Amino acid sequence: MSLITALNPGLTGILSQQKQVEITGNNIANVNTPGYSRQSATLTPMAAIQIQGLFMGQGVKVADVGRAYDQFVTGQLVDQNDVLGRENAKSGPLSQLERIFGIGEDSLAGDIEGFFGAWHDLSQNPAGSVEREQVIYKGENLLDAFDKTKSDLVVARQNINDTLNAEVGGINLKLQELADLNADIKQKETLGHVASLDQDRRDLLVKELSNILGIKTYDTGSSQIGAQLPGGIPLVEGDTAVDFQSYYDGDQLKFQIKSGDITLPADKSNFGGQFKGLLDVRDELIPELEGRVNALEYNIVTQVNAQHEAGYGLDGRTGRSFFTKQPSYQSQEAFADPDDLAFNTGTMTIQLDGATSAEIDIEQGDNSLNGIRDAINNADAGVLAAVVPDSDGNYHLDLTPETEGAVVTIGSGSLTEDDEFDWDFDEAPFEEQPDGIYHSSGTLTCSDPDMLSFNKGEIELVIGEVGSEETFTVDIEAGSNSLNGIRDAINASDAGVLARVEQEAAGDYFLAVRPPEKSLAVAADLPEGEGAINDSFPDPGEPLIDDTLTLTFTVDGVDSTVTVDAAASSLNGIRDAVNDQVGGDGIHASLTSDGDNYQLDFAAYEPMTITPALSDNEAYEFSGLVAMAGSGELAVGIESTGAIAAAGIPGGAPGDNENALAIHALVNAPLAEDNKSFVDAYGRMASRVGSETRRNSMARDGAEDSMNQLENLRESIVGVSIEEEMINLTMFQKGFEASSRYVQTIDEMLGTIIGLKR
Amino acid sequence: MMKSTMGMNYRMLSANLEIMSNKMYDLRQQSATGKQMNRPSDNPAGIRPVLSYRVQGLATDRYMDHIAVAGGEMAVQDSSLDQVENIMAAAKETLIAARNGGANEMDLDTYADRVSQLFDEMLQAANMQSSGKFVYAGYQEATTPFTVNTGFDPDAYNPDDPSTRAVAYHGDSNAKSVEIAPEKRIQTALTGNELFLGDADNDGVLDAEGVDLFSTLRNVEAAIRSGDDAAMNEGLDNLERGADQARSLRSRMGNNAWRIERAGRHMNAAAIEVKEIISSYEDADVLEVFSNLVQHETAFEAALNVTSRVSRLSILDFM
Repeated sequence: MSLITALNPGLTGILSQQKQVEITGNNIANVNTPGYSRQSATLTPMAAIQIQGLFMGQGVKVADVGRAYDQFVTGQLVDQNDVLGRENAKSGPLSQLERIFGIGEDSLAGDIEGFFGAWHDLSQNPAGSVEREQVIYKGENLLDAFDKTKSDLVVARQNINDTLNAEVGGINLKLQELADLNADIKQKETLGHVASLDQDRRDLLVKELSNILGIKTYDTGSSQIGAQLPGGIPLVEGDTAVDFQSYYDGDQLKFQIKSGDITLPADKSNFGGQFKGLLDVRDELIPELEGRVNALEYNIVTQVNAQHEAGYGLDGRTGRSFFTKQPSYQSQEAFADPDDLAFNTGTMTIQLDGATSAEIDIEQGDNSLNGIRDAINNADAGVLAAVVPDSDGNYHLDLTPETEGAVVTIGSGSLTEDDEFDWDFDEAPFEEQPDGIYHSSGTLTCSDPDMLSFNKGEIELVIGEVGSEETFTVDIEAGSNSLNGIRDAINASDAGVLARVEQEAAGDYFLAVRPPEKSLAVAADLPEGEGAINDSFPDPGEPLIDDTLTLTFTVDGVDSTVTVDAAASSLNGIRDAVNDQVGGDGIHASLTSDGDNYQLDFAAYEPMTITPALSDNEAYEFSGLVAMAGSGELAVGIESTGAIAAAGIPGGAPGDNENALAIHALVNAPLAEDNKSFVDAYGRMASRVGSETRRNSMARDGAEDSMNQLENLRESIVGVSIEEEMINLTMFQKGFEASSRYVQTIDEMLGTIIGLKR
Repeated sequence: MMKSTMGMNYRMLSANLEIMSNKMYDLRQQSATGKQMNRPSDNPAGIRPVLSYRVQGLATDRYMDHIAVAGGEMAVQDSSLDQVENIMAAAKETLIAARNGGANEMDLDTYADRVSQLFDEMLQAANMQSSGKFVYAGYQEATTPFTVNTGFDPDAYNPDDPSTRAVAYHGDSNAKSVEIAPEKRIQTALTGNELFLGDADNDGVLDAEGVDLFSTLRNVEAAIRSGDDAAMNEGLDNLERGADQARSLRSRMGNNAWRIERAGRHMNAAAIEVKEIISSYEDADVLEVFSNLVQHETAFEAALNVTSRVSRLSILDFM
């Protein structure tokens, strides 16, 4: 072996130390480069040459410059970045939602409270124009507050869409870069090199894409990796990247993956990372909140409307809605008087979306339109009942579902006829009493003489002797179908009868009808000095005389005689004898008293038959409900302050504040789903946003912390440590010096050899 | 190989500084606003109670306002009732003077005129207004409650027939009340029919124990003028009972006024309690916040110190 060739090891030494210094320099230069993995040279000894039977090493060569790499930590980083991206992305929209659902005094809760507070103030001065204007003003405020909340939610959704849309271009660039890197790395590594920088860059891209999309990667061989969405849709395969596209479907932003001719839609379930976070908020939380806000607004509007429709304005009109009317279901038939007890009694079935939701019992006294309305509202039927007028001034039963959009129907055959007050049989329920007065009995009695509870129809009075009878027909119509009404109708007729409403000892009222009187002369053969037959006597049980008493009655020129025994000649006895003996001829006696003394009273009555024919109930039935579309855009529908229905009693007196109080009471009305009130329903929404924000905040902190720790772990394995590099630098520098010294030595030796020939 | 790089150190320090800085921001916000519930996420579980109490507190304030106004109105009504009692007493004195013999026709006329004058005073009192509303008209506060029946005839007077009364009543029988709690009301005004006409249900028929003050005065006037002893005796009895009627109603209203005032005081106490509860949720404990802030600032200062020290030691200084 020659000395010249001995230079080779020296040369390789110098070159390789130099190379290592370069590599170290590169590491130091990249100490702060994100994603940089520390590079180091792989040194291998040069192949030994056999010279004269000896294997001589030929130095060292840098076989490769490799990078430090830890598969496990890198994989962890990618996964954790997915979580971090998701939680980070949510924090922006959530803080926006926190502002929308604030909890200060100027929040939506404050506007709800302010509206009902205005009704409370109105109750203090129900006729006050300032208070009335305030109610309208606060109502408008309330609707504005709801509109603002709803539009803020739309803006929040749009912001998310804009954020997502803005990422799409960057994503495509990254995917393309990933594909290109795949190609480059494959090419380089096929040639045997480690493409360190490219691999670092690829790792970084994967981490970023994981943060944004939550991609998963897998090894496809030949140093390439494939990337796909968590749902499995491929993004990068080999050196091909798909086209990630977004498009608007209406106002909804959607995504699709286009690869060649195939287009695959990608929805929320396909994503991770930021996209998942933002889509969770956009597609789950925001719609949930929108639904609740809409439901709350609907609840307030319909409940206030229903209560307002039950009240009376200053002009006495009722049935007005405060807000514009929501879609509802009205009876086909219209009725002139909502207080008329004109309906059948029985059971009414309310159905929601086809299923029975309540069975309402309608009894006597409830069977007016207003009564049915109140009965429905008191039952838990899931509808709000009201009585509203139409353009002709007739009233309809109006049912608004408590859940927006439900369909309300009533069961057929709802109110069946109640026979209790129906009266069309042949029995004569008027009974002639001993004193000649006819008393009604049986079903023509009642406990409340003013209740319009009888059937309508007519009462026929036939008066007079056989052969010369006169027939009088008394009409009993709606409004006069109470006991008092029947009495007045009979008295107003020309029949000449006198009707009175009297009360039994047991409490029920009945009709007493006295036939027309004929002129009557009475003669009694009382002894001289005993007084006249119709004097006052203190004791009605004491006989007047000791002898038989004879009474002679003259009616229409005809005489009739009544004989009374001595023992029975008390006032009571005389009365009974007269009624017994000549009662059939129409002559009757009765006793009257002024409290102290008693008197006999004689009367002759025309023959009379009373035949009531009250069979015409004209009872109304609801044949079905008509769907009403509602008055369009939601606004305060009241047209003037006088139309505000503060009064609860028909007529609408200026001092009547009962409906104002009832509307104020709605602020505490319990609602469905366990909400204690309207404000509480809002509180639940704010609480939902608050809980989610809090959860997100903690999750984000946790994810950030994990990321930091993983980054640190990665660095501790593959990062550049200044101390390490500096020491290496010294080491390589010394190695370089040593190799140089060797070269120098060989050079001297060569010099010596060459110098041998002079 | 586990090594510690510069990047690791700075990352760790920076992350911790950020956490501390955020915490201080939070504490500073609490001390500046005085509230610990600024956002829904500060205390999600506390939102529903706070909102509910706030609504209750505002309602309580309004109840107290209404009670104060009602109290004022009842004071006005009370002095009016005092006047009514005085009128009845004066009428009784006049009647006694007229009845106790020795009065001639001219004297009787003078006495009768005096009673007529008292009738006019009573009418004025009955039609009294307060804040532009008629006090004794029930809900019909914009309608003059009493008008004189010029066709009144003492002989035809029938307590069961409202058209024979000395006055016609145009109000209604709905008495005004004040709400002192949801669904709880206390009557604050008397209705003209109950006080002056002795007809509490306004059905046109004199109640069993009721007295029609106006018709009584007119009847007394007529009795004095005609010198009818029996009528005057009856009138005296009615005046007596009428004065009792006014007195007992006044006492009922007095009791109501006392109940309302008591309710107002309770409400005051309740309002304060509610404010305290809301405050316990919402308001930050200033002392606690300040001491936390000082503690965090100290820790932050230490962390900054350490951060600056990291750069001081470097191998580069030694090579």
